[in-house]
Amino acid sequence: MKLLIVDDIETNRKVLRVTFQAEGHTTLEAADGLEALQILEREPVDAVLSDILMPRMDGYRLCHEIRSNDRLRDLPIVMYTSTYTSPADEKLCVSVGADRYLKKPAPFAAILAALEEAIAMPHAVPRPEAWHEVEVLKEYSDRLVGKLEHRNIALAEANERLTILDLAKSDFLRVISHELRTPLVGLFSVGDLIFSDMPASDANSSLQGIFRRSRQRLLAILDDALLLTEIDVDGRQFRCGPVGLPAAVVSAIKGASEFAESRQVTFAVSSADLGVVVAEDDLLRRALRSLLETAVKFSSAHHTVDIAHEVVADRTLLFIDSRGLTISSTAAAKFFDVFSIAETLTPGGDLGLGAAVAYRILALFGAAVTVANRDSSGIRLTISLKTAAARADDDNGLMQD
Amino acid sequence: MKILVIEDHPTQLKLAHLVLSAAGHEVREAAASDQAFLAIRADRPQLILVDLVLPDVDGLALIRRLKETPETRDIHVVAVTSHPERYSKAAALAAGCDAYFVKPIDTRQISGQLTAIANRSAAQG
Repeated sequence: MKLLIVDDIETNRKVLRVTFQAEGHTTLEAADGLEALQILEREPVDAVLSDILMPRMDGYRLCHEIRSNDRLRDLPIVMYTSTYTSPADEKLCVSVGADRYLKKPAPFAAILAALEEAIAMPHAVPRPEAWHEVEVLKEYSDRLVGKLEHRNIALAEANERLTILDLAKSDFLRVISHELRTPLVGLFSVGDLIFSDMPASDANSSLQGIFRRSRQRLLAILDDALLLTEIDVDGRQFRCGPVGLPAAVVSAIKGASEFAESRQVTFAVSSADLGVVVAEDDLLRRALRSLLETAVKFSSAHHTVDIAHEVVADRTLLFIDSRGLTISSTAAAKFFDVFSIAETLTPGGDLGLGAAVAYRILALFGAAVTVANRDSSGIRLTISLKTAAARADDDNGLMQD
Repeated sequence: MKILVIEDHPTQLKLAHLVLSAAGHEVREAAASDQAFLAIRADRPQLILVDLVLPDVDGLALIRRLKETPETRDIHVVAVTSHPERYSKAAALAAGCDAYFVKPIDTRQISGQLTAIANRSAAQG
């Protein structure tokens, strides 16, 4: 379809434009109602997707203008707003002649469905008295906007952009975790078959090593993306119980050892009797492994990543110290975000999703992780876990595999 | 042991066959559920490795059928899938399979894993 996107925030228009174009649709853009009307004067479109709160001419007024224009009056209109979200706001949208109303942010599929429904439906004629209500509301909104500090508006807009970007990230994660595995399994199978036919030689074995490591890295990203989708997008719940920290640490070290060896980094545990914490066993191992691998990425070759612990009140603190690289304060603030690290932090530029995954896993147990420069020569990851009451709780059935 | 691999993707079928026969297993192949039942009747396997996406039937339904049929219920069943988001481990185990792996299979470990599953289940049963 050919769609006119009306929104005063450029990022919002861009997200919609990119998504619709990727699906094969044509888009035009306007920054407010007046610009939209100018475009509609010269360009026929199949539908309009419009924000409501905009400068110069808002979405209600735009809707009214379209419905009052003999040439445009049947144009399908979907209102898309994060500001006017009360039932009265929605009712007013219908009154001024909008075909559909959506709250921001909505999944792409919902926006597309609303547009298709709007295109398919016969168009309601707005009630004659509707505009009177809109005039009242417009006056109200003018006063409201006037009262808001400019800074508050900017904050609200920034927040809206973040929400929309989060949604785009979630969609992207879903694509990674759901769509990439099948073609990769195909590639890996073909690779394995080719290697099985190759004669044994040092050169071939080195190629096979590269293949295996690359494959593991890709699979780790897929597994991380799948878990992030389950936690962040699907809101999956996990049950927690007492977990022995020593076994979890040993298992995490074992899991991270191949990667550490490839970077010529070793692990050392300097604390004895790490105790029992509240967690979910498999997920805790996974979080610890990700953080150990993260520490390896910040280590220079031939150095050791140290693991130590301390019990403070009802928390067990686990310290993972690396020696080699440090991070800037701007990077530290975004260290545990998903896909947010613009600057290259590590020599391989490969921080990946591991730190973000560990952060989210730990939050599920009421635990947390922070990162800081230890001194000028390395970083310290500090994991704060809830100490479990007693080992006797091991048999209380809270655990699951 | 005798292993029946039910997999409609030719490359992955070939790979599983290669890896498992190299480890000394006797491998039979089926690309769909009707072939699978014929193969089971002709030569009963000790373990079935089944992909959960098959052309003629849902893999979970196939596992349930295997576990409900008296002649096949004692055969170990291992599910594999490229779609962990669609087929969870919990759903696969609930359908009655003995183990569940997300693809790709680990060519270095799969044979040992299957042997361990067969032995573990045999010891329990």
